[in-house]
Amino acid sequence: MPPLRNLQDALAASVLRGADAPLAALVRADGIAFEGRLQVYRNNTFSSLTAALKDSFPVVCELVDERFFGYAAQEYIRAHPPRAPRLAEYGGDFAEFLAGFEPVRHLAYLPDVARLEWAVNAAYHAADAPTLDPARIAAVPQDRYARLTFVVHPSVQLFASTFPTDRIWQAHQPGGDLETKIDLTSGGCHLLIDRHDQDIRFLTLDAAGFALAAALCAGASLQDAYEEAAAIDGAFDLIAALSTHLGRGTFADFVEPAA
Amino acid sequence: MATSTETKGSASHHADPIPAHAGIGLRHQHYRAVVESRPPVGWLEVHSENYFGGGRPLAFLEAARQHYPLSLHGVGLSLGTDGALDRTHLGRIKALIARLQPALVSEHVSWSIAGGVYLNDLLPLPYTEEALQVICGHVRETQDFLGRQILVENPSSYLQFAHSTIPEWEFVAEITRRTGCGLLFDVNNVYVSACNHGFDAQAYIEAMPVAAVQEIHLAGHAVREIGDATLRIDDHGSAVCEAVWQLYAAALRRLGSVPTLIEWDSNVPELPVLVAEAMTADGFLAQAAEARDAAAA
Repeated sequence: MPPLRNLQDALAASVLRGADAPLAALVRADGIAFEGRLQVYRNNTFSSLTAALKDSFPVVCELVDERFFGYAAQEYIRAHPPRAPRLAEYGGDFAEFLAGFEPVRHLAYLPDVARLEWAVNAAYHAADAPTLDPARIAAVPQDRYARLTFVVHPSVQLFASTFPTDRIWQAHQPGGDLETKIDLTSGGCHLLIDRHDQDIRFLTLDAAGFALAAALCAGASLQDAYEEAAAIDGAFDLIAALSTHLGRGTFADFVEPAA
Repeated sequence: MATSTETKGSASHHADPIPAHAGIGLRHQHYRAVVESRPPVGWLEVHSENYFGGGRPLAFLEAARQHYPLSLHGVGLSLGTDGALDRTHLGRIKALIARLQPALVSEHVSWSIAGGVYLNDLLPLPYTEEALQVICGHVRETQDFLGRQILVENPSSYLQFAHSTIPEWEFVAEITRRTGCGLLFDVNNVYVSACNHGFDAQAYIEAMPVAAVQEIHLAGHAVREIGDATLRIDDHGSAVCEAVWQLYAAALRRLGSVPTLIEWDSNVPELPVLVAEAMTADGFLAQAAEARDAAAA
C-alpha cells in the first residue's frame, strides 16, 4: 500500500504531465478504463485554470483568439502550475512566459498587454484603504515638503511600455474602437493604474511624471523623486504633478521624517 | 430535529444563524441583482477564496451580507493533503470570518495540493486509516486556528483506490466523530459517486451522523458516456435532476430540516432560475416538516 504522499504526487503527475503508470496501478478497475477516469480530473484542472487565466487576461485572449489562448494556457499551466490556492494571484509570470513562447514571437506587444492586464488585475484585487486627505499636506509648511515620503495606495500600479499598449487595451474594452488600426510604432505609454470607488482608472503620464511616481512608490523623498523627474524634463512642474496625485488619491498617507 | 447551527461551535459567531430554508451560492454574475432585488432566499454561501482581496467582490458581498445570513465555503485549504496546511490561507480565512461573521464555515473531504502545486480541483482520497489520520489532524488544526467548528463536505469522485479499506460513508462519519466537526451533506455528490462506483445511496444516508449534519448541498451534474459505460460529472452546471430531488427527500426524512444550498457554478443561469431551484428545495423542506409533525401528532 503506497503512502498517501506518494499517491498524491502520482495523481498530480498524472493530471499535469500525463505520467500515468504509477497511478494506474493504484486505481480500482471497474468498467471504465483508467484513462477515461483520469481525463475527468485532467479536464477539471486545465479547464478551470484556463478559465482563471482568461478572466485575468481577457484582452490577450481576444488578440490571439480563444483556441490559441487555450493552447498557450495549457502550455503555461504545465510549465508554471499554481503554487497557492488563490486563483486571483495566478498568472503573475504569464507575460514573461508569453515573451518566451515561440508561437507568438511575431506579436512583440503581446507580453506588454499581458503585463498591463496583470497590473489591472492587481489594482482590482488590492486591499481597500482610505486615501490621503489633501488638507493634511496643505497643513505642512512648504519649506518642509522636500523630505516628505508617501505611502502609496495599495491599488496603485505603474506600467510603462514601448508600445501603445494602453490604446490596444482600450480598444478591447466594452464599446472600444476595434476598427481604427493602431500603429505599433506610434509611441509607448506611461501609466499609473489604480482603483477608485471600485472602478479601475488609468492616469497617463509623461516620462518625467512616471519617474516621479516610480520614485515615490519606491519610498523616495519628494526632493529625490523630483530630481529623478527633472533629470528627464528640466521644466518639470512638481506642484502640478503633486496636486494631480493628491486630487486623485494616489497616496494613502505620508510620512514626515523627524528633523 | 431542530437545526443545530445555534448549538454548535462558538455562539459568538452566530449573530445570524442559517435558517432551515434554502439558500443560494452567490456568484459574481449575480452581485448586482442580489443586492438590488434582494431575492426571497433564506441565506447565501460564497467561496471564501474569491474574497481574499479587497475591492469590488468584497464590497458587494458586504452589501449582500447586510440582508442575508452567510456561509463561507472553502475550496482551497486541501484538508486531505499529506503535508503542512497553508497557514497564510488559514490566516486569510480567519480574517474573512472576523469581517463577515458567517454562521457556517466549511471545507471538503478531499485534497487539491501535492508537492506544493495547487491543482484547483477536489481530488479523491484513498479511504485508509492513514488518510483518516491526516485529514482529522488538519480538521483539528483548522478548528483550533479559527477558534470555531467547521463543516466538512462529502466528496464526489470518478475513481476509487484499490487499497481503500473503509467505505466512504464510514470515513466521512468517522471524521466528525474524531474531530467534533460538523457535516455538510452534499446529496448530488452522494448520487454521483453512488452511480459512478455502484454503491447504495440510501445506505450512505443511513450512515450519516444525524446530529453532525448542519447543511445540505444540491446541484446539477453532467452525464458522460465513456465507451459503453456512464460517468456522472459533478460540474454544478445545470438544474438539480429528479433522482437527486428524490434522494434529497429521503435525506430530509432521516436528517430533519437542514439548511439547503443550491450550487450552480458553470453555465450560471439568470438569478430567477436559481431562486426557483431554492423555492423547490423549500417545498421539500416544508413537506418533510409536515410529515414529521403528522408522525408526531
